Amino acid sequence: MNGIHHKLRTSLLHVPLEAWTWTAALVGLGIWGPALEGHATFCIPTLLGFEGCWGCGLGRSIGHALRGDLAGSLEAHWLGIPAIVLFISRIVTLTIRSTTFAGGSHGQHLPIPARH
Amino acid sequence: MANIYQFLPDIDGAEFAYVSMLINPLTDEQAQQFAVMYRARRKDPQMILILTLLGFFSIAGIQRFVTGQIGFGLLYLLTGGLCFIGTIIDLVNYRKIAADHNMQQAFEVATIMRTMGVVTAPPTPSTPPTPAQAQE
Repeated sequence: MNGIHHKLRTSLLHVPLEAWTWTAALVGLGIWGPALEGHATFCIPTLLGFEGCWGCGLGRSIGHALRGDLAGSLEAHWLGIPAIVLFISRIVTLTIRSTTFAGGSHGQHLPIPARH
Repeated sequence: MANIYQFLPDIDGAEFAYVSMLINPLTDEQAQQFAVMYRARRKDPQMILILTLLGFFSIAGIQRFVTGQIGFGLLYLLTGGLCFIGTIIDLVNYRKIAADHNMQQAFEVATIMRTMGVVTAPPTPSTPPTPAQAQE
């Protein structure tokens, strides 16, 4: 039992920062996304005073979609739902890779080609 | 036993650990062939950094296209790099993006060499790497 815990902990520690970033983004937007409308923006071009950023509304769109409001999601930004799929697939890829390539599981499962 | 410094002196980090494990059991000639094939597919981290920086001035997401992440590339392209936030994340993370891509390519090259029958009997079976070696 202890061994499993240790293995899980070490492999989770090796999950790259990028996977944690996307996970945090999805969780954060799922919890606070739509509530932020009109209060705060993460859009850096807007904060810098530019207008017409292509990505604006994406956060709200993801937030709506995660709460099941697909119409609201499409209204905010048409890429919200594809973005969720992409984020999740990227998180899964990164997590699987981190346990197969060097560093993950202390290299025990390195996909070294079998020898003849 | 081929020495990685001899064939691919400019790689480091996790990529170094992984590629040296692939290269160690090879003869010098085989390692040379591996290095040639690997170089053709490898992406330099500095190039990834420059392509990422391009996201602030013109088109965002080229670094994702170049490393084979078409979906993310399109997402960045169509949202201005997630309103620059994705571009900043990649700026912090550019080494990891390159290493991730490169290790995948190294694995594919090793697999191709094996299916071509290039990697025959290695001189000595290499011992499994120690944790310290794998982490460095």
